[in-house]
This record gives sequence, structure tokens and C-alpha cells, in this order.
Amino acid sequence: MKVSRREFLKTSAAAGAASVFGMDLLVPPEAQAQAVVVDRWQKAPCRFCGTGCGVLVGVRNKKIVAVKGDPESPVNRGLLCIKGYALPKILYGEDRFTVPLLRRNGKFVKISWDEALDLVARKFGEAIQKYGPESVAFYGSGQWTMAEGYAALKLMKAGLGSDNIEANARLCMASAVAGFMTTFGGDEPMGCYDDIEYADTFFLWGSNMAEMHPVLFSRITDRRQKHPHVRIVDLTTLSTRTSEAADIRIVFKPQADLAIANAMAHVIVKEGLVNEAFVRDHTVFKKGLENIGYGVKDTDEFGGQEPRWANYKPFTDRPQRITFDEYKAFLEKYTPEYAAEVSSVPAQTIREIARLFADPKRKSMSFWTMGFNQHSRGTWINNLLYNLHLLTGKISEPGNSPMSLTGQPSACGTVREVGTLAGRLPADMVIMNPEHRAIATKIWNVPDEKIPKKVGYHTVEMFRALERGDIKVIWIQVTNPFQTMPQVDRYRKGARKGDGRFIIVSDIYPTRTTELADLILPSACWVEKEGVFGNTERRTQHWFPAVPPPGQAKPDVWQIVEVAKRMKLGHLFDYKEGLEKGLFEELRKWREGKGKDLAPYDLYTKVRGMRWPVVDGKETLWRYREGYDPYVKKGEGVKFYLNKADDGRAVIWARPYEPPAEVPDREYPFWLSTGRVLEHWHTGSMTRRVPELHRAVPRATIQLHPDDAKALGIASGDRVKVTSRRGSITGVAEVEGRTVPQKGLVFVPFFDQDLLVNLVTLDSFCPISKQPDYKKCAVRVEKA
Amino acid sequence: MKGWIGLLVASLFLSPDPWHLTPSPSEGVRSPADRPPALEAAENPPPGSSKRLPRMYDGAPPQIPHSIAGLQGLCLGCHLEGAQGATIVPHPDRPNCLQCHVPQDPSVKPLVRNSFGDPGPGRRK
Repeated sequence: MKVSRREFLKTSAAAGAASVFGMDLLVPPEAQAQAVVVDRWQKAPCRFCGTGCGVLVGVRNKKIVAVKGDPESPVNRGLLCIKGYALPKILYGEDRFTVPLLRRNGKFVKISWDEALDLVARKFGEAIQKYGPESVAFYGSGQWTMAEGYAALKLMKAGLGSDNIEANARLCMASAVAGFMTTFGGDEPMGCYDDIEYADTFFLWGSNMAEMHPVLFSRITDRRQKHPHVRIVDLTTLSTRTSEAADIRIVFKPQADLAIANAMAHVIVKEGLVNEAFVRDHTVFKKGLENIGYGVKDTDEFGGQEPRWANYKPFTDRPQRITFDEYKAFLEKYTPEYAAEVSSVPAQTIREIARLFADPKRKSMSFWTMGFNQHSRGTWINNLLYNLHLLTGKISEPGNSPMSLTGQPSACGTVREVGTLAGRLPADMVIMNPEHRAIATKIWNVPDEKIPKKVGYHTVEMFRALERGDIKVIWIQVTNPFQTMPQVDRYRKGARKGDGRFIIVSDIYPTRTTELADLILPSACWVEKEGVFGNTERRTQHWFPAVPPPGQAKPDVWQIVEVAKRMKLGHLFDYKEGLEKGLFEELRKWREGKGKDLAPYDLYTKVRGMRWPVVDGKETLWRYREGYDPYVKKGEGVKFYLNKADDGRAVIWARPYEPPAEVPDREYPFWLSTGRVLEHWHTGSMTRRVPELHRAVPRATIQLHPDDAKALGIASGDRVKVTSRRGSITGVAEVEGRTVPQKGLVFVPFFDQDLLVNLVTLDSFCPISKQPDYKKCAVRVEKA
Repeated sequence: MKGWIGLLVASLFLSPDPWHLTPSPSEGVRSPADRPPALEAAENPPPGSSKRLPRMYDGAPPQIPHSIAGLQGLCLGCHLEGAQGATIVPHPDRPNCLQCHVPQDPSVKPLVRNSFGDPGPGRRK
């Protein structure tokens, strides 16, 4: 066989790929469900990661019997990943919650919905009356539908007068949001997935896309297969499946991304690779506060005082304009040699990738995920990445695109666009701004004094407040914080301290969180209800219910509204057009004319999603650029119109390298990083109930570099203990599996509820975004 | 056993790492073939000696019934043309095989029973 495999693949890809609807399918239709007998196939977005693949759900006799990748979906063109194919099974674990359960004398007993809802309303009401609205909280999810998130936001901010509403996206996307807001004055990517088919070089930072966004990664490798000049650069702290597929693989020391990104900017400036006209016309330069801490002390967000609500004063940055020359002076220190010392990446490599990035003949696309966002300087590293795109003008046009990936199906659509975070309102508005409050009073038809004025607790502070007893009642929906919070032991113990605390958890299966609940509410999941998700590329996608929920399980939005009715707040949810549509149409009012326009609800029921802003029925693929974005007027060229404070310009930030909160030392000589695997989704509560996924990856392992394993006398399969200053876990070692950490780093996935790695992690966070750093703390490793 | 090692060597020869242009600047990166067996379903029989597993449902991707330790990235060595009785892949232009096809550890019991059940063969429409 003379033809190389690569050439074979090239020709077969060109000749063999079926083409329908004007796009190449990523998987031939005959490879998918053909013989399944169904009553109907209906469309839905996948309910796992933020990619937002379209699936067709096969229903027979009120049960899901199959799914297939939707060939009409422009996102995945018929392809799915193994989690997507497992979707039918996530609903059918035999321990689904089917009735409300109340903890009585240490045991869960069945109660009626009426009793459960009355109890929730009474607990909220009593706590507010006795301790004020700051004593209650709602903790939601990037897996909330947009209607669910909007209902929860409205209940809290228009009804109960409390700003304590957060979502697990704080643990996942907050640094991305803060990066977008500080650089562009508006959240979410300017580009879209179509960029993949235009880009020449892909830069992947702290993102194992081959496992965590596999369908998008397949679109990237597809692009390279058909276009041999395409290159993939992987920048990471551990060697992954993504690294194996990359052309250029760069393993750097934890936290050194700050130095590498600044050194790339240094090379771009020194070697005359700056797009001077773009920088002159479309950017400004700023610096902010430095040595900003890590939020690890309880007093940090309370101005150094006793942590009480009255003292709560979370850190805020103080930006200051600087000149291009001052920015250049700031960059002087960040020579490739300096970055090489910090990162252990050769200076020449840093020069090469900076030139590759800036090459005017090549289009550059950047992707990043938790390596950037779960970072004690997460906002800064997001800013520094945008610097590279802004200095070279490689932004807001096909193929030149910084693309912040999301981990949940509606972290964008719900948490970010609805604003289910402390301080936020829909469409990037905030409760602290009087103009925004005026809009809120109008749309919600409530007086200004009903809406909270003081920014609420962010997630880490919310669970600290619960532990201290400052929060008494918390309602948790669609998420599992007592597995995912960093330094989780403190928060697990806090949850059961009694003294008036009452924890309500809406979920579908028993989890590490429901085991600490006082009241468990059985929820409907995914296509058991109607919903809308918003994915990474601003695509809003709707689905209708396909099957009924089991037993008495109910949609989360129904639960919220039923509690509201019992608190005399039913009028907030009185929509003639039905709840899901009514909530969505009200959300549209917030967004209209703000660069965030949505189409009418009914349109989404017919199409495979649309990317906002949707103006005159047309979606927007590239924002901020004339000809693509209806908000940019003729003759303006490029306009970052959401950044009104800087006259429609984007911000290039001088952000320094600073070390993380905790670094390895003699006593705790290893870095610990946590993360995910392809087969399991987040805390595994759904995917571990799919036998095929469980048999594929039955447990999380403690993953070591072979040299470290050898030095410690550890082999694959040995029992190993990992200890930090917070706690320890014991599990099975894996050496040279699919992921190989760099020397001195230990990697442990967090999906396994029997190996709670968050007993070991540290709850330090980025002071600007308030997102915890799950990628860096110091541990000791020994044979158990 | 000998057979599939020969194929492994042959498939390595066919694909001289065509996309890895710049050598890795850092430690910790090895090509998959250098690696000793990993934990991933290492209990499974080697390729060429396994039986097909049932699919999750009709149309779901076939599961990998053999050990893939040390073989990641080399699937098409056998599955392109069906060497050693391997299933011939209908979509060889999709190189990220493990995105959809995963190995199974037969010694692992389900954590919870799943009532999805077997949809049955049904009738072809």
C-alpha cells in the first residue's frame, strides 16, 4: 500500500462525504439509526456541553428509544460524541426521583407536592422576615433552560428583594464573562463556529477539546485534513488527546500562560507585527490594580472586616487609561527569555508561535476553556489573549476569531444572557446602574424599592455565608455544588450545621448534594419538558417535550412559579401565552436594541437555532464588523459598540504575571489540577448511570508523570493518597494513560463522587471574576 | 497476539507522524505507541481475538470490544481495510475514533440499573 493514510483520508473525505443542505455532513447518514421503529423523530439540542449539537430524538410509546446527530444542524452536521449518543439512557436510571422527599429524623420521607411547595414558600418567607432578604439564596445552573433561569432571576430580584442568585457557571465561565466585559464592554464571542472553516492556525489554550468539545475538535481536524497548510498549536499543562493531534505541542508550567501571552505580545510589538491602523482606530490601552490577592481569607471580600452582610464589599478593579507607549514599556519585561524562565517553554518556541499568530497571510483562531477560566488571574489571561487578537487586528471576521468555549449547554443562553449572577440583570445590565434599574421596573412592573440595590454574594461567598449561618435558606437547581465546590469539606459540613438552615435541592438523581438536602424536589430532565438553550456561538435553540417525566417529577420552572404563587408573587408569572413562551418574550424586551436581539419565540420552534443579534429575522455571524453586524453603520468598518465608555473601542490591557495562591513547596511538592474526561459529564450524576459510559471509565484515577511515579515507586493500579492542607483522598494511580501530566503535576478528574478531589482543592478565586482556580494548588502524593 | 503487533508496526510505518512538524519543546509528551498498557479496559482481549459487543441501541456507535492500550490513534491500521477480521469503518475520514467508540471493562457492574432496555430489532422502514 503506497498511498499514505493521510492522502487516503484526504481523497476519501473529498469524495465520500455526503453533502446535503449545502454543507458537508460529518458522519454519513447510514452510520446512524436506520432500523429503529419510532413514532417520530423530533429536534433538540444535546443537554451536555456548550457546543450545542443538534440531535434527533426518536420516540416510541412515550419513551426515547434512540437519538441521532441531526444532519440539518449546522453545529454538528450529523455527528455526535459518545455522551450525545448516550442521551436516551440518562433519563432511565432506576433511582430517578419521582416524588418530593423531606428529611425527617435523618431519613427522607415522601411528601406531596402541595406540602413541599408550601414548605419552601414558608421557609423563604420566614427567613426573609426574620433575617432579611440577604439570608436567602438561589443557586442555579448553566443547564437551566432560559425560561427557568429567567423565572428564578425574576423571583429573586423582582419578588423576594434578594440579589443572592448565582449559578454554577460562576465556577466555569465567570472569567470569560469578566474578560469579555472588560475588553469589549459586552459578553460573548464576536465570531462563531463558521470561523473554523476559514482559519489557518488554531491556538488551543488550556483546553482538551478532543475530549471536552469533541465535535468542534472534529471540525478543526476536518479543516486540517482538507487543507494541509493548517496548523494546530496546543498550549497546556498536561499532555492530552488534543496534544497528540496537535502540530505544535507546548507544555508550560501552571500559571505561566500569563507570561507566555505577554511575551507573544512583546514579540508582536518588537518585530513590527502590529496592525497599526487597527490599533489606532479601534483600541484603547488600560491597566488595573495589581497584587490583587486570591480571596482565600474570609475577610478578603469584607474590606478586611468581620464577614457579615453589612461589611460585604467585594473587590472591584480600578481601571486606568494608559498610552500605547506606556503599554510598550510594560511589555519590556516580558521578553521570550523571561517567559521561558517562568514557563519552561523555550524562548524560540514562543517567538515562533507569536510570528505564526501574527502572520498576516494566515487567519488565527483561539480556543480556551477551563485552563484560562479556572485561574486565579482568569480575567487577566482572558484579557491577554484578546490583546493578541487586537494588536494584530485579527478579530470579528471569518477565521480571525477568539472563541471562548463553554462547558454547559446554556451557560451562555441562561446564566450570561439572562444574568442569573449576583449583581446582573439580562443583557449585561446590572442592579447597581440606575438606568438599568429603570428598565427593570418598567419591564417587571415593580417599584424601584422592590429591586435589591446591593450586589449579592458570589458563589464562593454564598457557600461561605451558608457555612457561617448568614444564609439560612438556599434553593439549588440542576447542579451539584457539594461535589464541585473547591475545598468542599467546609461547605459540606456547613450545609448540615442546623440552626435554621434549610436546603432545597431540585434534581433528577441522588447526588452528593441531595444527600445534604432538607427537601428534595423531583425534576423533569431535558426533553421531558419544553426548553431553550443558548450555546457557545450565540445560537439560541428550542425544543418541545418528547416524553413525560417519570412519576410526579416536574419542570424546574413549574416549581419556581408554584412557590411564587404561594408567596403572593404569582402575578409576576401570569403569562397568557404560556409560561415558557411568556418568559422568553419578556426576556426579548430586555435585549431588543441592545445588540442582543432575539427572534420571536415561535420562530425558534421551527429552525435549528439562530445566532443573536437577530435583526429583521436575520442572524449575525460576526459581530462588530460592517457588512456582517447590523449594529455597525456604513463607513464605521469595525465598531465595538457595546463598549460605550471607550467610544466603541476595545481595550488592550497591561496585566502582569503574578503567581497563584499556592505553589508547591517541600511539604507539598506537587501541583494538583482537576478536570474532565470525554465519557463523563461534570459530576457524572447522569453519565455514570449509563452502563456503557460507566464501563468505559468506571472511576476517576490519580494521574502522574512516569518519572514522578517511578521516583515514588508507584505503578498504574496502585492505591495512592493525595494530601493538601485542606484534606486528602485515596484512589487508584494511572501512569501514562490517555492524559500524561507534566513532571511535578498530578491530574484528577472530578466526575467521580467516590473520589471527591474537591476535598483537596483550594477555594482561591480570581478577585475580578470570582471564579475559583481548580487547576492549581499544592499537594503531597504517596503510596497508600 | 503476534499478528496484531505486526499490524501495529505496519500502521506506524504507514503514518510517519505527518502532522507533528515541530518537536515538543517540553517534557511529558510521548507518542501513544511508546506507552505501556494503561488502565483503560486493559483487561480486555487484544485486537483480533474479541467478539462484537451489542450496541446501546440500533444506530448507536459500535463499542470497542478489545484492549486499546497503546493503540490510540492507530485504529485505522486495522479498521480501514478490515485486517484481522476488524470491522471496516464506513467513515474513514473521521480520525477521532474515540470520540464515539469507547472500550468496555466487562468486569465493571453498573452502579444503578437502567430501564432503557433493548429497543429490539424492529422493522426496517
